[in-house]
Amino acid sequence: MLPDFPEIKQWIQENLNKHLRDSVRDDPLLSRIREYHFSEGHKWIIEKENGTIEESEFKKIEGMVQIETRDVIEKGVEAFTESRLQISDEIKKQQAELLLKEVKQAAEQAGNVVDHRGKPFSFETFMELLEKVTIDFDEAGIARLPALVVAPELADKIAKKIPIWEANKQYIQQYNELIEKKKIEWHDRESNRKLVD
Amino acid sequence: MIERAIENWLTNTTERIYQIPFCQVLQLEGHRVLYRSTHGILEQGKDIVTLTPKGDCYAYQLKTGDINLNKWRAIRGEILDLIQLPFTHPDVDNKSLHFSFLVANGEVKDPVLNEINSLNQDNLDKNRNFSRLSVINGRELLNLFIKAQGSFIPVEMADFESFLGFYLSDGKGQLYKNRFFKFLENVLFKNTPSQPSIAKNAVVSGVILTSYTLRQFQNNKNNFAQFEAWVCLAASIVRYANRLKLATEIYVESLELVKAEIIECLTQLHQEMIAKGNFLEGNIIGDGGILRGFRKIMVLGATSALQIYLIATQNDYKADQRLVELIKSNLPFDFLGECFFPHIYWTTRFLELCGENAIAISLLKQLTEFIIINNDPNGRVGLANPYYCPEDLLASFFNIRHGKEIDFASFNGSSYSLGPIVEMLVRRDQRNFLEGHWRKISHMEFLSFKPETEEDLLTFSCEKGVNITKFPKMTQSWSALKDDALSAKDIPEIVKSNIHLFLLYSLVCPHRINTSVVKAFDLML
Repeated sequence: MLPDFPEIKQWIQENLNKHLRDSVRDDPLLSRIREYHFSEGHKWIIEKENGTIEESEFKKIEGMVQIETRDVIEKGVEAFTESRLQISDEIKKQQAELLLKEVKQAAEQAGNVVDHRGKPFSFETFMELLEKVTIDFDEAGIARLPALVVAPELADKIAKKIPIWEANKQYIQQYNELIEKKKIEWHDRESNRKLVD
Repeated sequence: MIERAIENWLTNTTERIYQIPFCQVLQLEGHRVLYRSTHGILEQGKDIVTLTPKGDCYAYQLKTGDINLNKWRAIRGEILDLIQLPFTHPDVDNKSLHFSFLVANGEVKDPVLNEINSLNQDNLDKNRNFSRLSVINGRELLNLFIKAQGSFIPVEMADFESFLGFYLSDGKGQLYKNRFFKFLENVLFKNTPSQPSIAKNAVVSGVILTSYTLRQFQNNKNNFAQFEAWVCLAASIVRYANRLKLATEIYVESLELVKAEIIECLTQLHQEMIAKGNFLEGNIIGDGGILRGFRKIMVLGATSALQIYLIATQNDYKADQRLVELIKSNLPFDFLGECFFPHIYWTTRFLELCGENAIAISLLKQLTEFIIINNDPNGRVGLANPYYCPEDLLASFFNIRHGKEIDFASFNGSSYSLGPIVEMLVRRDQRNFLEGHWRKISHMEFLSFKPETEEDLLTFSCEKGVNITKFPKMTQSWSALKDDALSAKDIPEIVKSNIHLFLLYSLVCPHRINTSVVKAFDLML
C-alpha cells in the first residue's frame, strides 16, 4: 500500500459526522424534537403517565450520495463536505416523514383532527387547530406555541395572511382570549402535579 | 508470547500479587484453600494452607524475588514457625505432620538450598516431629501458571491486541472497562463448554489471566483500576455461571478469591486516601480543580462502599470514623455526571450508618435539585447520563479529542438517577421535600435499561435489551409511591442472590444501577 494517514482521516470523518448531525438538528421542525442517545439494547419502551406502554424497535435512517473519484482528487475533503448537505437533506426528509406519520397516527387515535375539506387556510382554521392542542407556558407566562407544519406553498400563503390577521382587532382579541384560556388549562395541569395521600 | 508475558509479570511481581493466582493453581490441582493471609500478616509462618484431595495439609510461605543467604537469615524465624507449628483447623488431622513449602518467584540460591537440606536432615536425625521443608522456585512457579492458564489465552488477533493494550499500558490511568469486559468474554466466557470441568478451567484461567494482565496497574499501585478490573472478572464469572446454570462448587472458590482481591485493592485505596488526605495524584500540572473533584467522589464513594461491604460481611467490623470526617470536610461534591450516582449513593449510606443522617439526607436533596435544574426539559445543557465515564466528561470539558463525543443537549428532560433517588427519599419519609419539588420532578422522564436476560445485568453493554422511558404521574399518590418503594417484587433474582457483588459492581458499571437495584441495596444492606 501507499503511505496513508488513517488517524487523520478518522478525525475528519468524525467532524463530518458531527457537522451532518448539527445540520439535521438545525432543521426548524426536527430541532423541536428531543433526541435520545441509547448506548445498548434493541428496543425502546415508553411508559406513559396514564400507564399505557408503547414499544418500538429502532428504525434505520440513512442518506446516500455518490462522489466521483475526480472530485475527490480535485477537491479533497471539500468533496465530502459539499455532499454533506445532500445527505443531511435526505436524512431530514426521512426523519420528517417518519415524524409526521407518527404524529398523524397519534392525532387520529386521539381524535385531534381538523378536516376543512379543501377550504382555504383561514384564521378560523388556525384558531381551531390551536384549540385542539395542549399549550405549555414558561415560568414568565409566555406561551410555548406549537410548530405549524405545512407545505411550502401553503406557508407562503399563510405568511401573507399573518399581517392582515394581526391588523384585525377582533382576531387579536379572539387569539388573546384563546391563549388566556390555554393558560388557565396549563395552570390547572401544573396544579395537578402534586403528591396526594 | 503469552508465556513470555506471564514470565515477565511473575519475575517483577510481589508475593501479595501472585498469592491469589497461586491459590487458583492449587485449587485447580484439587486443593481446598483453608487459609490465606491478608495484609501481609503471616499466621504461624503460613501464607496459604490447603487440604489436598487425599486429606494432607499443605502450608506455604510466599516470598518475593531471589532467596539468598542474607534473606534466608532474615526469614529463618518465619520458616521455623512454618515447619514447627501445626495448623489448627477442624478439617486438619493434627496427628499427621503437614507439608511445608517455601515459595519464591525468584531463584532460591544454592547455599540456601544447602541450608534447607541441613535443616531437614537435622530435624530427622534428632527425631523432631517437624514438617519437612520443600522449595518451589520461580521457574517451577512459572510452569505451574502456564499450565493452569491452559488453552484460555488470547488467540484471535483482536483479543491479543486488547491483551497487549492492557499489559503494555503505563497502568497509571483509568481502566477501559467496556474493553476489559469484552476481552474477558472473548477469551474465557464466550463459548458453551461441553463439560463442567472446562467451565471451571475457564474461571480459574480468568483469575490467572487477570493477574498478569494487570501487571502495570499493579506496578503503579493503581488500586482503583485494579479494583475495577477484578470486579469486571467477578461479574463475568457470575454471569457465565448463571448463563450455563453451573453448580456453585464449579466457580465459588474462584469467585471468593476474586472478591478477596477486590477488597484488598479497596483496602489499600482506603489507606492511601487516609495517608494522602488531599486527593491530589500524579503530575501536579493539570491536577486540582475538577480533576480532583472527580477523584474525590470516586475514592470517597469506593471507600464508603468498602465500609458498607465489610460491615455487611464481617460481624465484628467497626466503621472507620476517619472516613466520616474526610467526607464532611470535602463537601460539596462536583456532581457533573450521572456516572457518579453510585459513589454518592454509598457515601450517603455510609453517613447514615455512622449516624450522620442529616448530612446524608441533605446530600440526596441537593442531588435531586441539581438534576432537576440541570436537566430541565427546556434547558440546553444537561448532566451526562451514566454511560459517560469521568474521563469522557473531562475530555469534553477540556475539549480534548477522546472517544465519545457528548451531546449535552440530549440529556435535558430525562435522568437515569432521578427515579432511584426519588424512591430513596420516599423510603426515608421525605414527603415534604418531594411535595415541594413534585411539579418539576413530574416533568422529567425516568430512564432505565433492562437487558433481555437477567445475567446480562452483569456486563457492560448488551445488544439485546429494552430502553425504558417512564413518565412519573402528574398527580401521584404518596401511599402508592411508598408501596412501590418498599416492594421487593421487582428486584431481579440475580441481584438478590449476589447483593454484595452488586454493591461493588455498582461503582464499576453505574449505568446498571436502576430503581430496583437501589431498592435492593436499601432494603437488603
